[in-house]
Amino acid sequence: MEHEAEYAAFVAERWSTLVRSAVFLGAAPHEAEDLVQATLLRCYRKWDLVRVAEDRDGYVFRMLLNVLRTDRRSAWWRRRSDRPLVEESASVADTTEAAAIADAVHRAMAGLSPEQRQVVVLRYFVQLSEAQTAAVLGVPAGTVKSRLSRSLARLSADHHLTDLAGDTP
Amino acid sequence: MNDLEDLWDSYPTSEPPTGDLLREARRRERARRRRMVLRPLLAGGAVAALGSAFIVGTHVGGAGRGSDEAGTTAGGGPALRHSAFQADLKAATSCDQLLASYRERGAAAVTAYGWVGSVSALGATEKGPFASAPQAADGAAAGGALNGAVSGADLSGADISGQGSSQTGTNVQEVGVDEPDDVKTDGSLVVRVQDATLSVYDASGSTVQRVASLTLPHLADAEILLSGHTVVAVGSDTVTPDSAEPAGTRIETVSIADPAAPVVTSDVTYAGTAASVRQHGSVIRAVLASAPPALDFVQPRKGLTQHEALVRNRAVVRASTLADWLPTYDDGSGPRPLLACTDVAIPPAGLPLGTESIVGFDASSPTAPVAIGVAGQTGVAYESSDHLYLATSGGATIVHGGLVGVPMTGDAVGGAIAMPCCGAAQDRAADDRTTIFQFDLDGTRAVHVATGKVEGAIADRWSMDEAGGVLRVAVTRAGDHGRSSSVLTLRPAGAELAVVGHVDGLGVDETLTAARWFDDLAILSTARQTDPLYTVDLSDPAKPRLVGALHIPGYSTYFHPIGGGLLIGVGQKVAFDKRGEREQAQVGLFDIADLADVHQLDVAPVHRWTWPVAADDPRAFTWLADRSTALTTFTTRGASVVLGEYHVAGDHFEVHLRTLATGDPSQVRTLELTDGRVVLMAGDALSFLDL
Repeated sequence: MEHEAEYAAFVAERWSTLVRSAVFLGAAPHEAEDLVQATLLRCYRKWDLVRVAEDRDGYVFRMLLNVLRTDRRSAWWRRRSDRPLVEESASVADTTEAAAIADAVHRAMAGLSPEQRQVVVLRYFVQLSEAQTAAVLGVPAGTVKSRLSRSLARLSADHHLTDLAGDTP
Repeated sequence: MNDLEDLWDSYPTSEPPTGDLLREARRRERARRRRMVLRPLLAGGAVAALGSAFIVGTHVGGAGRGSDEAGTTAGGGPALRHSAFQADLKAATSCDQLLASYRERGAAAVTAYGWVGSVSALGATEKGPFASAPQAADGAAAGGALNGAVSGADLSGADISGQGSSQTGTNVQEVGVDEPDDVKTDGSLVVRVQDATLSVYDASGSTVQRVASLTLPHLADAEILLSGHTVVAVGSDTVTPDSAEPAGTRIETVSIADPAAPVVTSDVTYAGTAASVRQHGSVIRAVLASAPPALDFVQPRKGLTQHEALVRNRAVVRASTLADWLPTYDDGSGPRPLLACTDVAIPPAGLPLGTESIVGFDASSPTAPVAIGVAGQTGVAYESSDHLYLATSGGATIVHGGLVGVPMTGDAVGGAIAMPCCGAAQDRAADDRTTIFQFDLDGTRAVHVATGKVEGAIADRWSMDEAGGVLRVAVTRAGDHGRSSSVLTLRPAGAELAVVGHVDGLGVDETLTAARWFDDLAILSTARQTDPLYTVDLSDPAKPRLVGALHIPGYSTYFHPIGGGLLIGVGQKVAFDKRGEREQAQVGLFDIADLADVHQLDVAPVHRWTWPVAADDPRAFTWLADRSTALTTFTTRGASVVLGEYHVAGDHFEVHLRTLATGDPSQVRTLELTDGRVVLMAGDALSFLDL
C-alpha cells in the first residue's frame, strides 16, 4: 500500500483513543482492542480514501461505529479471530485494571441509550466538533447539540459528571 | 475533572500493535488480491450512486485479422531462441546480480516498520461513501466525449455471438481459456470440491448421484480444473511452516478415470499465492505472486528510535539471501528452487518488491513445471488464447525501484496519449502509470516478447482483452477534468507494446464497474452521477470515435452477450429515500444491434436489498443458449440466496425467482450438461434444476 508509513503513524497516534472509545461505547476490554483492530484493518484497505478524507477522524470513527454495530452483532470478528492477531502482551495488573475501569464506565453509562452514548463519546471524550459528530452519526448538528445536553444532564443526575451538566466543552 | 473523565484518562491501553496490524493487513490484502482475480471490475464498496454504462465498439479485428496475427505472434517472426526474455526485460546474468538487485531495492524500500508498499493496492478505482466526490455537471461527461460524434455508419453489434460456458461448465472471460471453479463437468460426470473434499457425481440418470468422495490432503479453499479424467485442484497449502509467511499454493491432481475410485496422483506445493490459474487444453498455467520475504525486522519501540529501527532493518535486508527471495516448489522430494537465477528478469523501476512466477505444466505431468519469473510483483494477470499479460495494478508504482516518488521516464508512452503537461497533474499521472508485460504462450512455456507502458490504472483482468493481435485495455486516470476512463489499443512493435489508438474522457469522475470485450466491441459500465451508455467506433484503431449514448437508471456490474444483437447486463440500482440508500439488484436486456442506437428492451428488478453475485464472481452467471435463458444469483439482506431465471422471450424477460436453501452464494452454481439438463449446486446438495 502506498503511504503505509503514514498509516502506521496514524495507528500509533489514534490507537488509545479508539480503544477507549470502544470501551466507552460498551465493549469489554479484550473486545475493544479486537474491534479497533478490525476497524484499523478496514482503514488500511481504504487508506487511499481515509488519508484524503476531509475529516479523517470522522471517517475512522464512523468506521468504528459500523464495526461495533455490524461486526459485533454478527460476531464477525469472533468467527474470524480464532487466531489472535496480537499476542496478549498486557500485564495481569493492566488487564485487571482495564476490566475494573470498563466495568465502572459501563455502569456509569448504563442510563444512556446507545445514541446518547455515541454522542457523549464522540463529542465529549474524543472531542470531535459538532459538525464532525453530526456527520459521523448521520444526524443534523442541532440533534447532536440537544442529544448531548440531554445526555450530560442525565449523567450529571447520576452524579458522574458533576460539574459539566448541560455544558458543552 | 470528574469520574468519567478520570476513567477515560486512566484506562490502560496497550501499545499500538502497529507492526502486527500491518502484517495482518498485508496478509489480507494478498488474500483479497487472490480473490479479486475473479472480479469483473471493482465496483466501489458502497457505491452510493446511480450509474452509467458505455459501449465501445472496436473493429480492430475484421478482415485484416489474420495478417495482424501473423505480424504479432512470436514477437514479429524471429524464431524463438531458448531464452524466456526476448524483449527489454533482461534476465539476471548471475545469481549474484539477482541477489544484489533484490537487496538494493529492498534496502531502499524497507522502513522502520519493515516492508512498506510491498503489497500493490488493488482498488484504485474504489470509492467509498466518504470519498471526495466532485460533482460533474450532468452531461459534462457525455459532452466532452461526444465532441465530434457522428452517426453509427456500418458498425454493428448484431453479429456478436452469445457466449456459453466453458467445456467444463464454467462461465469464463475468454473462450478457450478455462478457469478454476468449485464444480466442473465433463458433460455427464460432475466433480465438486468443497473445502478439501472432492466429490464425484454421476449425472447421467434421473437424479444426481454421488459416487465417490475423497479428502484432498493439506488443501484449503481449493478450486478445480478438469482435463480429461484428471482433476487439477489448486488451493492454499495448509502446512506452510512459517506462520509469518503467507500460505503457499498447493496443486494436486486426482485421476477420476474410475469415477467410483478417485485417486490423488500428484501433490506439489509452491511458495507464493496463486494470482491466476488458467487452462489451455491440457496445459495449466499459474501465475504465483511471492511477497518480499518476512525477514527478521524490528519496529520502533521504547529504547529504539525510528531511525535506529530503520538502520537495523536495512542491515537485515542487506544480509538476506536468495533463498529468502526466490520461491521454491516441492513435489514431495523436498523443496527445490522454482526459478533458476537466469530465468528471473530484473524488472524496470516501478514494480513492487517480490517475485512473480509464471509456472506451466501439462495436467499429465504436474511434477515437471516449467517456470520463469520477474523480480517484482505485477498484480493483474490476463490470458488470451495466445498470450499472457501481466500488468502492474492501480497504484502499484509505489516503490519506484526503491526510490519512492521518482517518476519513471515516459518514453514508451510518447505522444500517443494527450497528457496533462505539468506540475501536480503530472505527479498524479505518474502515480497512475501501468506497465504491461506481454508473454507468448507456447505449450507450457512462456516467453516475454514486449513491454508497454500506459497512463492510467488497470483495475483487473476484465480491463484487458486481446483480439486479432491487438490488446485493448480500459484504464482509469486522473486528468485535467478529474478522473476518467479511456480505452486504449496496443500492438507490439518490436519489443514495445505500443499504444496505437485511444478513446478518452469516458465517464468523468465515474468509477468503472464492469467491462466486457468482443472481437468488434467492448462494453464498459461506470457508476456515479450520470447514467449514459456510450457507443464508440474503433474500427480504425488509431482514430476511435464516439457513436452514441443511452441514458438508463442503474449501472451494470456484469455483461453477457447472448447473440442476436442482444446483451444482458446484471447490475444494481441505488435509490434514495429519507431513510438513506436503498439498493436493489436488476437485470437488463439491451439491444446492441445498432451501436448508434443501443436501447434497453427490458429491465427486471429483483426485490429491495439484493445484490448481484455476478458482480463479484461471473461464475455465478450461466447462459443456456438452447433455452434462451440466463441463470444468476443474488444475495439478500436476510443472508439468503435467490436464484433468478431470465428467459429471453423476444424483447422481454420472463422471470422466475426462487430462494435457495443455502445462504452462501459461493456455494451456488448452475452448470449445463451435454444433454441440456442443468445441475444446480446449492450448499451441500447437487440436483437437477427444474426449468
